[in-house]
Amino acid sequence: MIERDAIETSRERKWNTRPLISFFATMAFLFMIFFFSGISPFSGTSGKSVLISDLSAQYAPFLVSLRNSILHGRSLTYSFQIGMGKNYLGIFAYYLSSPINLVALLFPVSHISDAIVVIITLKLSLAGAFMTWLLDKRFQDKTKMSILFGSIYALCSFALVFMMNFMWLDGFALLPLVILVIEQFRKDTRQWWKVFIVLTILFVSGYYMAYMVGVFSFFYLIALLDYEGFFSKDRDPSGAKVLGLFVLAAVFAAMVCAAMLIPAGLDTIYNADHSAATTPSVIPNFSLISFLPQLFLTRLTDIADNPPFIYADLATLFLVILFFKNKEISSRLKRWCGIALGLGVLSFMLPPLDIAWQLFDEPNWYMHRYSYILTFGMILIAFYSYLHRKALANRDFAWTAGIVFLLLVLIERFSAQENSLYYQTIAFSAAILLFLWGSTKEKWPDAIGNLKQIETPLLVLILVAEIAFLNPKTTVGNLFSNAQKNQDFVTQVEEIQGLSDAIDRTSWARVEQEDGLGKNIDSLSLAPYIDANGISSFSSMSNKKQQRFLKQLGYRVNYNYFSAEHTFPILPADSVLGIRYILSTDTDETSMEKVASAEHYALYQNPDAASIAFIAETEADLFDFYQLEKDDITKDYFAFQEKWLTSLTGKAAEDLYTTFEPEWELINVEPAPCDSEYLELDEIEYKDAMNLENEKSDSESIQYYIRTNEKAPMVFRTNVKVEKNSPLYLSVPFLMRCFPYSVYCNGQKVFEEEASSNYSVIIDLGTFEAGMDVQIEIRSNEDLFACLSPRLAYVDRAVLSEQMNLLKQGVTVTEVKDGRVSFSAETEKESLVITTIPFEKNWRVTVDGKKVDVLSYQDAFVSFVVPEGTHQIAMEFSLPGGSIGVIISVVGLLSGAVVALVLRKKHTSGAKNEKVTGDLK
Amino acid sequence: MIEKTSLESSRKRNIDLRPLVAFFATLIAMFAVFAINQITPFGPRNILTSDLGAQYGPYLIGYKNALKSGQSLLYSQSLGLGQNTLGVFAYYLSSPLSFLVFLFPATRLQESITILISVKLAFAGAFMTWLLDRKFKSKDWMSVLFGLMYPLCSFAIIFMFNIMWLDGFAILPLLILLTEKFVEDRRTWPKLTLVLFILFVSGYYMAYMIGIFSFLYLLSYMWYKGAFAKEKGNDGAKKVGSFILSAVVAGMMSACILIPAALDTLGNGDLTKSASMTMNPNFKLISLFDQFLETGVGDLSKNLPYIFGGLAVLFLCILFFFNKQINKKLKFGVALAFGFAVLSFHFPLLNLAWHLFDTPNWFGYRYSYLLSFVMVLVAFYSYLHINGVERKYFFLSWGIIVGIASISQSFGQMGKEDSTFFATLALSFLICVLFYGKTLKTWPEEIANLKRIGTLLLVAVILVEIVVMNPRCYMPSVFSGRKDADEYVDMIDDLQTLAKQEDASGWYRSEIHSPWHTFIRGNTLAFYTNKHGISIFASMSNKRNNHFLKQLGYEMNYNYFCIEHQFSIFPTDTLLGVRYIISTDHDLKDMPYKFNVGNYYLYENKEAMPIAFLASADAYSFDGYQLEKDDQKKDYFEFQEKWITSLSGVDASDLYDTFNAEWEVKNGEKTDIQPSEDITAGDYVENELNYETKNTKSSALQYYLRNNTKSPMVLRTKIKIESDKPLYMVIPYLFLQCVSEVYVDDELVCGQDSASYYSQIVNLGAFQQGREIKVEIRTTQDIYASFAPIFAYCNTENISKQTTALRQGLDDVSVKNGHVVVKTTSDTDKMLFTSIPFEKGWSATVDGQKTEIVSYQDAFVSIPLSAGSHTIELRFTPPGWKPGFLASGIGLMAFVLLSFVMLKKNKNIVEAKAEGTDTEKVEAATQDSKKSEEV
Repeated sequence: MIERDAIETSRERKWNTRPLISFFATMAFLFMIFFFSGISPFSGTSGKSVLISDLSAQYAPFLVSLRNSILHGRSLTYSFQIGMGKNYLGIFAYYLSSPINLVALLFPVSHISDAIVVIITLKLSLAGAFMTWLLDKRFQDKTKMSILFGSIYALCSFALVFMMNFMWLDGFALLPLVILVIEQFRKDTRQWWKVFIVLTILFVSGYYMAYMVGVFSFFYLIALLDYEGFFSKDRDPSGAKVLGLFVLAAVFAAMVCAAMLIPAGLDTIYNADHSAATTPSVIPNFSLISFLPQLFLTRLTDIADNPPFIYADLATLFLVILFFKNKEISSRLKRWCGIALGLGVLSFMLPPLDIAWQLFDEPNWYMHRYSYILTFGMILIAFYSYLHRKALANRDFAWTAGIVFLLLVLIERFSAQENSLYYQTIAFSAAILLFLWGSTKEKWPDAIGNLKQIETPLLVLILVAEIAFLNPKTTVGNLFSNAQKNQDFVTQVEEIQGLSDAIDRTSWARVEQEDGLGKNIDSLSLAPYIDANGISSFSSMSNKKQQRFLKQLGYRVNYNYFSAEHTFPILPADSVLGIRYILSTDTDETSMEKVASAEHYALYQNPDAASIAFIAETEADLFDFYQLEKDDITKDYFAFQEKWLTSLTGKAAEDLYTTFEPEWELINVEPAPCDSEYLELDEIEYKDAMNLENEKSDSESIQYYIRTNEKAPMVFRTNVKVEKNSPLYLSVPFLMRCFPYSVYCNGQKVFEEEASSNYSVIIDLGTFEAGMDVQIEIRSNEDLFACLSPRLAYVDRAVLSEQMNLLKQGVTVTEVKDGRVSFSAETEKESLVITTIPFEKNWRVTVDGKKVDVLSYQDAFVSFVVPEGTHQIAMEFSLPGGSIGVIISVVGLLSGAVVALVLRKKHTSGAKNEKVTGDLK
Repeated sequence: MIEKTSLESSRKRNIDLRPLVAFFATLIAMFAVFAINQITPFGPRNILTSDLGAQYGPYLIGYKNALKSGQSLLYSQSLGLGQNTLGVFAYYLSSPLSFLVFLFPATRLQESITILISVKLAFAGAFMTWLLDRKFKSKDWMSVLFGLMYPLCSFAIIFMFNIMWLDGFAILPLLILLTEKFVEDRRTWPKLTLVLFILFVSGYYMAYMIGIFSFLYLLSYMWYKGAFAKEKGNDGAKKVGSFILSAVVAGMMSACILIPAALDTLGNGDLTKSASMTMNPNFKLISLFDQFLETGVGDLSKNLPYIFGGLAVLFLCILFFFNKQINKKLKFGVALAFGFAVLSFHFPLLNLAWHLFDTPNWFGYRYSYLLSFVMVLVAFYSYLHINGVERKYFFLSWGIIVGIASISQSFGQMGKEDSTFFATLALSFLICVLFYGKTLKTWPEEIANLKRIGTLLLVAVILVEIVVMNPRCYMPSVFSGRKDADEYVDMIDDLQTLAKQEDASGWYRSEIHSPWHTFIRGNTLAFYTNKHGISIFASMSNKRNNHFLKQLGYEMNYNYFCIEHQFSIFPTDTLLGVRYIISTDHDLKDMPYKFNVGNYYLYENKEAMPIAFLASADAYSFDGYQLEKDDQKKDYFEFQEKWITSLSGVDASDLYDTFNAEWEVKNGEKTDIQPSEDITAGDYVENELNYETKNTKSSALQYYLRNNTKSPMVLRTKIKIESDKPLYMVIPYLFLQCVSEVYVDDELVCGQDSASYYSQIVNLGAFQQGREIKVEIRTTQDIYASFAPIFAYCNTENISKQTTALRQGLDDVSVKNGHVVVKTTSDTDKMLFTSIPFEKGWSATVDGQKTEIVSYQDAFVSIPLSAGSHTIELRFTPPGWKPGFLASGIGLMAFVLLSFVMLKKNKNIVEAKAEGTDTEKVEAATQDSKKSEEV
């Protein structure tokens, strides 16, 4: 009935300004939130950067790389700025494809944090606007409260906590819009085109969230159709038809995006995670009682293993409870909503369902990524409940207050909830409930009778205080507490950009860094900021095999090969991989030639660095590059590099390192008195389909150590009398992944592993004057520690130069662009050309214009054989799935257009007929 | 209505087939349960778990052997060093169904026990169905399913390995049936008495609980029926009196077993001082929520009451209280019963009362099935009246189950790695919907046709739950999961072959060295090979005798229930007559190798003494318990030398060459400061027999503190071997052991994972002279304390000097169970020492003259002898044997007499009432039915 009235009046109300107001209101609230959280640019020069967690390590540098590619007119299909170079589409589609990200083009690189604040603000404001729009249209009501409810959605705890995952926000924002067009479409199939377009935008903006939103909207449509009797006999259009058309819209929308999704999908599949996933158990994800706090305001504790965030605000919770007490609301609707809420909770709890919602890929960080869908549902219910509040009796409010109080008492008793929140929640609850109750009364008691007029503004005020101040303060207060000052970040970026001007860009080179340049430019993210190429990267679609290659050389690679970091220069390996420049915070480094320096940083040059390709012995590929993984006796990373160089150049390189194993003094630690089987090792089974290591292998060389006193770290200490004036490296070989440990040199921390998620690394301790005494310590806060014998090594620069000169002979690079490389190679015999371009499908190599077979050197790099003589070599990358994707996109677009037109036409006639019959009646 | 029609037709249906069907259905269900859980003979898993492997199984074999041997059944030399059998018989073996096991050879023990359990539970199912049929006068075949729920309840599934409890469990429904009949008709008194008699004979322990329960049931049933109303006069009281009389007569009839058994059991009572009764609740009430649902089994030593009988039972019990058709008085009665049950579990005093006032130290709440029983009754009644429940209450009841599950998942067992949460939600929903479906005349159009198979579906769902899911949840943690059933059969076979190599003539003992399996521990060999040994594990073990054996360094537990012969201790073994040692150790140097079968090696100690020999007359003055009073050194080896010297009169100090070692501590620190904390949990145990004073701050104790909890603390020493004689070691503790393991050259030699044993002598083996061995004591305790460990080379050849002395004057010894004749000649006064444990019931004649037996060291039968030749005859008669028979005779006579009286008396009453009461009866029946009382 409501709907019919509304339809009649809808002609008059041509322009509904509420969504627009909601957009700006949400924006204003977000500005307040940023302001109170001290985020730049809202807090002057002391403002913090939003770059935390993955935003700093992944999304921000990716965004910069996108900006670089677009502004410099480079290829969008391949980028040398991602790791050692890779197909760009996987990263683009997962992280960057939202059109709103183009905002980043308007900002200088150093202000990427501000750009991201704007992007987040825009996306969430859109979420608020769409939500308001949906509420207006769905319930055909004119109350301005829909504006507030729109903002409540945009500022729910999911959005507040996860806003840094800005690529998820498009789906979050589009969800109400998708539901809105579905609502319109179900009654009038002429509106199909809207569904088609909105779904297309959804898929374009990020397939991951699009999947969740798509699945949900499908269920929503089924429930809606059933609720409204579309599945009963003789109903036109029949429920099945509506559903079918919806699926068709989704399929066509997906097809339109195929040009992006197919290559992205292929890239993601080719670079799948090899860690052995455990089959999902049916043991609940958490206990029910621990879920209760999620109904209320909670303080964010662990973002890695977080519970589902479903809290929006207290009013929503109360209205949802009141919904079920409301007599005016049909019990059928209540049952449907009850089931939906129950299914929501079940999804969180039951592991198989939980994984199904997340594209069957268990997140190992940021759990329950679809939890906002429940928030969305709750807000819809709450708004409906608000509209029908007049039907509520006093005792319903008393009930609700009782239930809420009971829940709070339970939470206070059984969960680690803080007391301050307990009283805050009670105070706000009381106020909100009171006003809600007051709003159902015709008149207020005489004493405060006049206040009745400002009842709604007061309620709004309280709710605004809650969503724009209290909730963010509580929820995200901790999130940014360790964030870097944005001004510092800006200075850093500008400074390193200034230094990077000294890089000779006429010839190709890689640039890496040493020792973490700053909080937000960590060792994973340097290259895009200075628009250069490096080797580090971190993404879920990283080239796993190439990362595994880097692991053998002692670079810091994490357990599932998502990330590889250049934490220290490892000169021999760096040289082969073409790292010619090192940016460092150490301005007094003596082992390399300083090219430029600034206040905090210096740029060094490694003259021995090879180019992007070099000519090696043809047997080089026979070298067992993964021998370290099979070695559980010595695992000598230094000897390995010597052997490797020998295999490349054909000249013995055993003098490259001078290796020695010092005596370690044990402080607060002793060797375990018995075999590992008697030790209480935590049950960790590391498995990865690629690794040759076996965590279970009971190596006789592994030494287990036990800590004596748990309040102090265990320390292995040695004093080394420096014998050579060349870089001194340390290797602590672990059987597989490392134990958490840190390394100190003369009392200064030079390296730290906080978790056991990386493999063994080579640590550059520095270069010391011969004759000097250096104290080296390995410290760990673990109770148990196990490794093979640690060893130290000096690098002999002269031997390295000699080796590298051999390797560098004969290659002259003419051009290196993203996805296109050409050079000339001169050789006296048939040789193997090894490039340091990661091996991927669809690299095409021509030698003197003739296509040759592309080989994969050590399962990691593009290589090929050239006959003797001088040759022109051209390499080109073409996107796998690119052309078929474009074809499907065009077909999808055309089919979509045709169906849209047909439906419009058909139904226009249908509607006319109906009108005629109606008139006759 | 159901009742009325069923009453009318009951004449025609003379034979109710349902109990029979229930019997076979239970049997099949049990086989399915065993098959699904892969328990032998349906799978590779051994059924001999826990005490079934350590006690009941071997006892059954021993019982069979005793019957076959034709010797006295009243005394057994296989129980420890020898003991009255009646205590063990009455507690563990007296069920008539035990005879089933005798049909199988000893190697097939597992299969026979699987069948024994199945048959006992099948009786439980049949009797339950019978009770449901008769009690509720229903024709519904669902009674078979409900009958099945009882033997498949969590108590039965988890505790089925306590086979001697299952008789009472099975008889309970039968007894309740007869109790109800008895209230209605006194003529059933003889039947009632007979069933009570069978109950008492089949196991007095459960009989006690069931007796109490049935008495309470009788009272509440009569109350519910108004039997105590004024107008009935003292009819009610009379009936109660007759019921008690029935119990008394049944008790008297079984006196021939019960009196001697009781005397044996009381004579060997637990001397551990139990803590005074506390009023603190046994557990947090909230943890009881787990018990209403299917949740994993935790620790059987500290379990909560098992009451879960399936989700259908729980669901129907909840529904019961929402049923409008059921009167309030009944609901009130049932609620009271449930409340009382929970109180019994929760309140220590009541709980103890249910357990014969003896706190079980494992397997708590042994009566909890009584609640399951009542719940099944209530559930069936609820099911019969299910049409009286409104729709909303079905879903409310389901909601309550979800609530219970949520609480359990949040705070209880389900939260701890239990995957049954979602299964519970789903299954209970299915059950709810299907029960609800039964109340509908028609089902919704889309599924209308399914209505016909609604009941079938319901039965299927419930069967899946109780036969597949619930046992699947409980059994793996109870039946350890070892797949060694076949290995076990082979082992018994090998052991029996090996035992045949032993000398068939003459008396001797055989024992094991270094146990090789959990199911043939140090205390079960004698039963499997039909020989005599020295170890035992029974609650009625001879505590005083065991107390002495502890002094010799045998592995003894804190309350003297259990002694295990873990290692060969050559000198004492010799004196106690251990002539054969079976071991997997192929290099035992204590005595010569004789034979082997597979991995099992037989060694013969030719020096082993007979059961009796002549010792110095002044041996009585030796202090056999000096070690317990010694808080400086506690040298077990020196003690043995002194003891043997005192017996033989020949210096035995050359038996052992003892020495101490320097210990290096790894992952720990040695300290001489007594820690403020208790060292082991055992320090709380007090035992009347012990002389140790635990609170002594002995200056000789060495304390070690562990540093890192992730690694054991290791005490390490290197020993340069100086003799190729067997090397023994003892770690003398002030009281009970600390949890520790002994390793020699990184091989585990002896491990003790609980602190419930006393110090013991460990035989490390024999090593080549000049070799260096590494000995380690590893412990995972944070504090470790002992006296200095002592090592000793055992000079085995020096024993012959002793045995020769001790054999002097011994002319002949003949031994049978409970009858020993010894002929001696000596020219001085002597003590006849026997390795027969001292207990009441032994009588002696010397040269035909009745002579007083003296208890040597409070432990052994001995007789002081004057110089000259003597014939000594020792004979055992169980105490209470004769009075028991007398009482049984009187009881039998009373039974015949009273049966006659009851039958006659009641006949008159029935005749008198016959005319007018038919309608009354029908009324009563309609209203009737369920009453349930107590648990």
